[in-house]
Amino acid sequence: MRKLLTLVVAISFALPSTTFAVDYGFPKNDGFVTDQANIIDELTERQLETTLQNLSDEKGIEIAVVTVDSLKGRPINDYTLNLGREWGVGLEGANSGVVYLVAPNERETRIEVGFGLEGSLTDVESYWIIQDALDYFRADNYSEGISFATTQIIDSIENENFADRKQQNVDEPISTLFFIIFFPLMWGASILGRSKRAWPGGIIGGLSGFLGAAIVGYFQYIALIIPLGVLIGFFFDLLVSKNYNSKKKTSWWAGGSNRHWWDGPSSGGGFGGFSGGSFGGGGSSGSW
Amino acid sequence: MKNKFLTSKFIVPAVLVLVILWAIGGYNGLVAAEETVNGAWANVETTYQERFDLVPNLVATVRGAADFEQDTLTAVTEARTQWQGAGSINEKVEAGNAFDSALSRLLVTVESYPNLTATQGFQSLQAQLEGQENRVRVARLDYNGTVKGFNTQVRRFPTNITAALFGFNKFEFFESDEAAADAPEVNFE
Repeated sequence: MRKLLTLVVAISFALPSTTFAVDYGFPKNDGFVTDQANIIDELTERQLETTLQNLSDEKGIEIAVVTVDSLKGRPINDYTLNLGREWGVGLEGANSGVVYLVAPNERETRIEVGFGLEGSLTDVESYWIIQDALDYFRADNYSEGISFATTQIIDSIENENFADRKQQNVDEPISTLFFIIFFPLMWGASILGRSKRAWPGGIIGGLSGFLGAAIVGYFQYIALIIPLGVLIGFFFDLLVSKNYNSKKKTSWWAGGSNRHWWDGPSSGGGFGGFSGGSFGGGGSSGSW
Repeated sequence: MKNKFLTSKFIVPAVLVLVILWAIGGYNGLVAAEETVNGAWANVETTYQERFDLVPNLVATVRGAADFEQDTLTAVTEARTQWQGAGSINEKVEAGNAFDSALSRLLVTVESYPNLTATQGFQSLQAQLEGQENRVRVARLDYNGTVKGFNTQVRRFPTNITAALFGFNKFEFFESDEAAADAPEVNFE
């Protein structure tokens, strides 16, 4: 029986994941302005950063100004869309984000508009902003062109306000998930540890995985979560049972730290990151 | 001996419960995935519809420009009608692709009328058309992504058992027509 359980779990794990992420090699975002290509002068960058921070604080609108060394051979609309989605520019749900991207080496530029702002910053609006900024770019005057275009973008969405859609940062879903799976197990470790068998841990793990998924609403991953719970529970029980057998008194899971490896790295000060907005392909591109 | 008896007495119902839970989970997972696909498809339809809504404007703008080739215009409007009459996803995919290629042919033709393309009105219209084309492209990619996820679930063990049991079928991908992507060259000489 134990072998069968292990086998089922092993098979479930061997199944490939359904999501394949393409690596676009996006630059690391270091604020509202990310100047990887280094074409914006210091002063302009600071001014833009302050303006965009205020805009985000007051209206819940996030504008990312990005310059890149290379589009990695991808079409600019594809690159910008995926950058906006990966960074999550804009508020989650409200999708109140704009990505203004300039690729000086490819001589291409794009304004990508989140769903929530498409009504104000239309494709036509974006097109003319891009065209106007191109005059600066042709004269190699990037700082002024980018600053000009950003101001135009802000002007066009003047009447939008998403401040009431802002929400306090919630836990990352993945750590919630792990918490839900792990917590009952850790709690049950003392009970499970008293028996020599490992399978009750597996069953409890599967159950808590199911309940956890039901609570969080991750039904689409249930086929993965349950065997994960079973596996973790099984080995956990195996471990605690073994340790019980060897009469160990203290173990790492009884330690006093409240931080765990699944909490992820603690975030420092400074830019807190974007808020999880998405994009649907609105906006306009240009080249010079 | 006694231990073995206890074990079997516990294990059989426990495994049964686990299997039932697994089936419920699999079923609910499929329902959720199917709804995601439906949502993505609705998005494809909306973006196409918004794109068709630009056609009257395009026709009006282009028609004004002297002796414009009528068949390219007719092809665009016909494809729009074809979409509206299409029922199944397959028919819509076909109509959508026909529209894409007709529109790109039209736009290539328009290129040779500089007095038309130079106007602000036409450039704005073109920005709208391009924007909408990109939205359609994104909606199609997203749709295909959800279809892939769903179809994998339907085919993969053990959810394929649940899928067969409750009659979940695979969805069709929205393959874009390669011909539409490469706009044909137009020679006026």
